[in-house]
Amino acid sequence: MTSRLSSPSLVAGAILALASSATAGTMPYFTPLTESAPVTEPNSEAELGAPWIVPAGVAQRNLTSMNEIEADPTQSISRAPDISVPGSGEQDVTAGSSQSMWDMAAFDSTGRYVFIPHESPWSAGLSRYDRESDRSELLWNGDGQGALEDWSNDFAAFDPATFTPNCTVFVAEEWSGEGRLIETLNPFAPVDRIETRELESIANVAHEGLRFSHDRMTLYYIDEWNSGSIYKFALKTPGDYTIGQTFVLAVDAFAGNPADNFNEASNAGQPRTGLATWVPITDADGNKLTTADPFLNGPTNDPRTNADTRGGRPAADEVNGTPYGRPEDMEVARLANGNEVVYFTATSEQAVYAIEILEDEKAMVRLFVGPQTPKNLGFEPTTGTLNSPDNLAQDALGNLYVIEDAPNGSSTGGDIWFARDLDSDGVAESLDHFMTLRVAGSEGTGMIFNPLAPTEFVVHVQHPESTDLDLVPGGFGDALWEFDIKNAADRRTLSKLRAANRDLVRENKREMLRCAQEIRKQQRVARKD
Amino acid sequence: MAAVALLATSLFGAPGAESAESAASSPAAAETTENARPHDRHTHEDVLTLLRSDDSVVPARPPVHPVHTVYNREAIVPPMCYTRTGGQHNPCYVCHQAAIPGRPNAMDDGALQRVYSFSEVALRNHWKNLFEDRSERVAALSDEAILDWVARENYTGLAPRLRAAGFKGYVPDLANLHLAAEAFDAEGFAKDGSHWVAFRYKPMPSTFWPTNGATDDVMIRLAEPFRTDREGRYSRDVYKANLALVEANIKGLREIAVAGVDERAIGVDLDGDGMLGRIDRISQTTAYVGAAARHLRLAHLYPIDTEFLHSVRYVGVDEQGGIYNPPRMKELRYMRKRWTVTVPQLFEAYEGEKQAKIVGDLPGYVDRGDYGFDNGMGWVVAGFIENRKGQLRFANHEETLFCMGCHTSIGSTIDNTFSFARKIDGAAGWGYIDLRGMPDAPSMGETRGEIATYLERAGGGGEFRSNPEMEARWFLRPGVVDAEKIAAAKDVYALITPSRERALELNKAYRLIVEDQDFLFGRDPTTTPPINVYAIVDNAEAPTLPPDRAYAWDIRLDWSRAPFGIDGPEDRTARSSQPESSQPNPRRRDR
Repeated sequence: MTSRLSSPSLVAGAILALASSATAGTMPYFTPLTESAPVTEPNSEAELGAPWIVPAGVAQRNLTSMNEIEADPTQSISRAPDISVPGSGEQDVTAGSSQSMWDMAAFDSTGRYVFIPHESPWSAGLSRYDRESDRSELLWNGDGQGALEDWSNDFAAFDPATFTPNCTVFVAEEWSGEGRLIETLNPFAPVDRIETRELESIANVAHEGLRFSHDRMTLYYIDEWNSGSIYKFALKTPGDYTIGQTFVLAVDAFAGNPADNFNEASNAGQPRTGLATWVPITDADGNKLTTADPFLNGPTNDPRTNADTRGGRPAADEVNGTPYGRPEDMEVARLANGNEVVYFTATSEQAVYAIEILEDEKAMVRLFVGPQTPKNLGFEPTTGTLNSPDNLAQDALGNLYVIEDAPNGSSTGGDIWFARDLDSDGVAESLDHFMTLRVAGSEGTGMIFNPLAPTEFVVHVQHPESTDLDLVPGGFGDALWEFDIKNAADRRTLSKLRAANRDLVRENKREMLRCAQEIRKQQRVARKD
Repeated sequence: MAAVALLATSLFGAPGAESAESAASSPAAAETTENARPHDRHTHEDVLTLLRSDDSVVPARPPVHPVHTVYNREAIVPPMCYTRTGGQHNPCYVCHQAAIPGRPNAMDDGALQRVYSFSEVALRNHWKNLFEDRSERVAALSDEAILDWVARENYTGLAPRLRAAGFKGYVPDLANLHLAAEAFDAEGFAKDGSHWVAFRYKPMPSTFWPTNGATDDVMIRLAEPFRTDREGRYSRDVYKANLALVEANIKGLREIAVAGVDERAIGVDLDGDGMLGRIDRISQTTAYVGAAARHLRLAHLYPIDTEFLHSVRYVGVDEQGGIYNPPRMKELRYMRKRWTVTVPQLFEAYEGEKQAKIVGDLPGYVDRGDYGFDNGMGWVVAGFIENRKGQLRFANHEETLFCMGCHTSIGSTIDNTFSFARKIDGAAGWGYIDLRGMPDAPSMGETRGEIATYLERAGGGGEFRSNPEMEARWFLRPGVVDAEKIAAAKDVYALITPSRERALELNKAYRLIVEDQDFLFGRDPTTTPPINVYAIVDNAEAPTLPPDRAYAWDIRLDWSRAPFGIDGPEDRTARSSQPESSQPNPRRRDR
């Protein structure tokens, strides 16, 4: 497929896909949908041509897919191979439709590249898709031996990808592997020059959301678990991700058991919103303050019954870290009062929380979206419900989008919701039904807006049945789709969106230029070769 | 298959008629265009109509993703989950168990013994066949007619019909399975060289007791490397050793008895005596042998490409009133371990199951078409069931969905399976199932016979406490078992097989369900509606069990504590295998 590069040129400036400074939540610029989409057969016309039902004025087109990449020998993508015990000569372990698992995409600061983390159960890695050349390259992945429980050179379940202020890319392990965060130091370099490192300074948890604060001095993250906590890493030195202090969020009035699941009797009825404190689990140099070692590599399991749990989890329990129901993705924005706010989904609670960042390691936690949040307020109602909110995205105006993890085998696909918070107070007034997926067995992942083209965003269709070529020969597979809202009816909001993006570009200009130089430098190396 | 597709097209129009353009607008906008919403035009009634008019081996189905025509989205919750426990009876413990350390089953659903915890959809009991009074229809069927029906086999025609239909999934390849024991040699090996091996196991309490409606058998087959030596030649010694090693792995045994395995054919000193010779015991249970010597061995998990074949049959009644496995099958069920999933993958899958329950997502699985359902934990599950004429046909989407709860999301299973963990240990457990002479061994960690224990805990002869014959035989009064009489029972056969009259009635009731083809409403062979079943459950109001009525239970059996050997009461020989731990189950809370 030939790609059209719609991003403004690099000289126009570049921004980091990090955090919106805008505080102007808006009405939806579209007419909300009224139901979730019925799923269709694998490799149906719908999957190949228009996997999402979208409102009028929203266009979708495919950028790439497993099928397209694997049909072209000059491209590459990660597909976790069958793994054999050495010498057995037989396949012992196979990943099925989880072989590639495109998860939370990250745009680079120019909007040209999309970084694709692979959430496969072993051989996880990072791919780079170039929108200009319509080519994908696998930058690196593990050796697959994690399938045999040897993680020394293997990785698993990379759920998040985040483009950093240093123009590097973070990926981190979620439900398998050892809870590590891996940084790709030169993500624009030729594949054979790619360098990575494990950031030992970040606590080992079941990672998903990874987002920087506006001042780039803090990295927020979560532990995806039904007793999962919220963490932050405060850099000691600007730009140095290797040394800093780690904190865990504890709601002051919470008097339950932090090791128990959010919904167990010990925690039922316990307040998990309200004034909170960031409690340190390390000192400023990263030395642990807890009995448990927050940096212990290990499996994701229950620390109440296991001694080898990845360390961030028991460490959080020690300091009374408030348990949430499977926290997943996060976004950083600003409230109307100018304070920074960290949104995070809590999948098991069918909720999105907002953490307003206050001074002196204090915070205020609010329920941003919950099961009681009205749907399509002021519009025709929808029969859709908010199921398993998983990913988050944010446009240049600071509007938040909530992406569902669609249950496999459901008769309807997952949805994307627009969270309407007109007064930007951290409590949404309505969830407006934005898009709905109709690809059997899949979920939407990695929604992210183009940093230079504010009406464009991308979303993955992850682990559709068609990724398993045994099941669907010639299957389309995991795919990357681009959307453009420029023809939405509400021209006024679109104008505001563009203006807000221009402000963002101005605000981040110095940082963007540094990244642009870095990109050019790494690409020069490629050209010389 | 072409004929099937034609039928579907003529009934419902061409599939894939949905245009790409329709995707660019709200579904609501498209509602007025009938052709744009085929999923709304088809229901389970269309599925039933097709099943009642189509005798194809792979029945036609409406041209939409089958999930849209499912009647009961909670079909994974089987009928017995709707039993009224009345705050005192607990038949639930054999499925719902807390996690056992060291085992990959992390479902940890022991709490479901005590409370009802259904999704909104499942609150209504969709198994409406349970509530159908078939008295008149059953009475209208003569004994001769049902005996004739049960005696006629429906197995041998299945494979050629599947092949003719271009079926891509498992095509039964075990010759003469309808002949039951005659298809196997004394060690359980299929006589046809298909490498299926029958084993002797004690049926799961209640559901698979003949007195509750069915007889059955189960066969296992390991992948080719487990049957061949290092040079790739078939070796029965290698196969027998690997079968024993798989059994030891599933059960967690340190050593296991085998029948005359020749170590010289394998090249490994399996009994640790320093010599290669003919052995009757394997004490090296940490690695497979032969061509599979380096294959992955994950504790309590089967190796890749392990297959199970399970025939569920009517209750055969011979001229003397004896109960046996007759030629006619109700169902033929098949499982293949398509992927060896790693322990973290399994953990995540179980977390996903729990997560779905927390947030109220309805269950869903990848339907792999002819290959069956993918349980997300490595197994593909498929089945064949009778069409209205009694021929076996491929089970459809919802009929297979029914299988998935028990083979995915309950806490008591080992690697999502039941029977193999319940096999008589070691060499004595290979061979075609025979309940005669089989002792009522206790569950691992217990001392009393498992059946005796179950009857007491369940308060009846099955989950529904609606088996009057069992109650008359083994209970002193309602809810109170006759322990002496049970202890004196000759064997498992005596305990769980029905009288001739009951067997015929069960067969007739099931025959009527076949005639109706409405398995999606349930397949329990009831004549009159059982009393102890909820039509609607109120999670909050339904009586729950007190803590002392919940039980820790291990699906494995302790054959070493059986009251007599596996050859019947005359057999006083010591049992054969050594569990990793013969300590009583620490989680046990016997009353």
